[in-house]
Amino acid sequence: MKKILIVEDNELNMKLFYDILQYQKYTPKKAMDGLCAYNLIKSEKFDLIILDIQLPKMTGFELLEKLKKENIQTPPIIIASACAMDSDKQKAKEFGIEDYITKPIDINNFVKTVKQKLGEI
Amino acid sequence: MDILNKSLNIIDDIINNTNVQNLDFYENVLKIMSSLYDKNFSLGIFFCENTGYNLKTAIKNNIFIKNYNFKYDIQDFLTNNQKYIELSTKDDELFYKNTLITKLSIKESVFGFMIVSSNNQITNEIKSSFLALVNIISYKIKDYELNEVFKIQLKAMQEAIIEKEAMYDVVKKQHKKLQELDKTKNLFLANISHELRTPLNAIIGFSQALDSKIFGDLNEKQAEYIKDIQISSLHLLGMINEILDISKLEANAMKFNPAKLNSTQAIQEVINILEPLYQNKQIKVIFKNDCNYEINADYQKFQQILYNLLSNAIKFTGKNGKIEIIQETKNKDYILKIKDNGIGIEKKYHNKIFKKFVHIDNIYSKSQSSTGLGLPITKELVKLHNGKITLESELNKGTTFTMEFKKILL
Repeated sequence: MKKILIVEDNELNMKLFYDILQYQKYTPKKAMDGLCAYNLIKSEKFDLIILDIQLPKMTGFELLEKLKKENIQTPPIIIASACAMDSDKQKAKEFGIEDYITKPIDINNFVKTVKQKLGEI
Repeated sequence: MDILNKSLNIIDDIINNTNVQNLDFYENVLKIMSSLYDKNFSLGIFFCENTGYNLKTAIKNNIFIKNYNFKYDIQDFLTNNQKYIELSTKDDELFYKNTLITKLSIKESVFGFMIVSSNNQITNEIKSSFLALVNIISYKIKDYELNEVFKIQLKAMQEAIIEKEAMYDVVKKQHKKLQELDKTKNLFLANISHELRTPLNAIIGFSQALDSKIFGDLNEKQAEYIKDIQISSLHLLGMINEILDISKLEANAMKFNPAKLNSTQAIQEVINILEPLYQNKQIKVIFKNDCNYEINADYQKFQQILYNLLSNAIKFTGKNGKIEIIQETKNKDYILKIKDNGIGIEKKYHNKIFKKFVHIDNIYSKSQSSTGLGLPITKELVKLHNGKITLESELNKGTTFTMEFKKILL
C-alpha cells in the first residue's frame, strides 16, 4: 500500500483528503503544519505528498525551500492550495512542481492527479 | 549736462526709494528740479483731487509752500490735447508774471508741473528744457510704475506656480495613495478568496463524496439535497472567482500562460463540472467530442471562458432546453460557439452585457444572484487569447455566443 503524506492545517479538509485517499486504498498520513511535515519527510519514506501552502510554523514554500537547501530527496508533490493567484502557481513551478490544484478541489480530478503522479494511469 | 545727469540720477534714486504715491516723493523731485534753475524761478506741482485741481506744493529758494490757492482757471487745459500752457499772472506773493504749466499725464491723481519766473519772460530755451525735463521724469515714473506692475504680476505668477506645484504635489500624493489603496484592495481580495475557498473545499468535497456514494447509498431526498448543496457551492465558487478575476484584470496581474492543449478534452472537463447544474434542469448539452483540435491557449483561462458561457446558458435556458457547443475552423481560425434555445437577450442589451455590473431584468436574473462580472471577464479572457466574442440573440428563441480566435490553432 502506497504511503501518502497529507500536509493540511484545516481539520475538515484534512479529513476529506484522508478519507478519499483511504477509500482509494492508500495509506495516508497526517501533518497539520509545515514543521511536522518536515520531520516526517526526513524520517519516513512516502510515495507522494499532498501539500498546502498557507501552513502554521512553516509555510509550504518555506518547507520546499528548506528541503531543497538541505538536499533532502522528496517523492512527487501535488500542491493543493486555496490561493488562486498566478504568482503562487509560478512559484510552485520554480520548485519544479507542475501539479497545482486550486481549492475547492474536484474529487475526481484530485484522484486522477494522484493516480497519475503515482504512475498508476 | 553733468548737473542734469547727476540730478536725473538722484531722481532715479528717489523713484526707487520712495513711494510715488506720496507727496514726499514729488517734493523731493521738485527740490532736485529746482536746483537746475536759478533763484528767480519757482516750481510747483498740481494734483487732481475731488475738489478740482490744486497746486499741492511749490518751491522757491528751497522753501516749500503748501496747498497754495491757485487762482487761475486751467480747466480747459486739463481736458484738451495741449501739452502746456503759458500764463501771464498778476504780481503775487509767490508767482510772478510768467508761468508755464505742463501736464504730467502718467497718473490720474497727478496733474503736472509748473515753472514760474519772477523777473524774466520764460525763454524758449528754458521752456524746451523744462518740457524735456518733465518728459524725462514722466517716463521715469511711468517706467517705475510699469516695473511695479510687472513685479506684482511676476509675484502673482510665481505664487500661481508655487500653488500649482503644491497642487501637483497633492495630486501626486493622492495618486500614490490610490495606488496603495488599489494594492491593498487586491491583496484583500486575494486573501478573502483564499479564506472563502478553504471552507468551500470541505463543502464541495464532502457533498461530492456523498454524491458518488462511495460511502454508501443515499435515499432519494438525500441525493436531491446533496445535488442542491453542490449547485449552490458551484454558484458561490463562480462568484468568488469572478471577484478575484476582475481584481486581477484591473491590476493587470492576470498571467497568461498559453501552451499546447486539446480543446475537446478541456471543453469536456468543463461540461462534466457543470453536469449537476444542467441535469437539475434536464437540459440537454450537445457536444461532439470525436474531433480533436490542438490549440495554443491557457488551459485554466480557456476553461473559464467556457465555464462562464456554459453556466450562463444553463441559467437562461428553461427546463428541457438544449445547449450546443460547436467547434470549427475557418481560414486557420479556431471558432467556438455556445448556442442555447433559452430566453434570449433583447437587442438593446447586446452592447451592454459585456460591461461591468450590468444585470438584465428577466425571470431568471431575479431568482439567481450574480456579480455582473461574468461576461466582462469572459470578454477580457477571449481578448487575451487574441480572439473576439460576438453574440446573436432573439427574445424567446435563444442566444449564440461566437468566439473567433486568430492564430491559436496548431
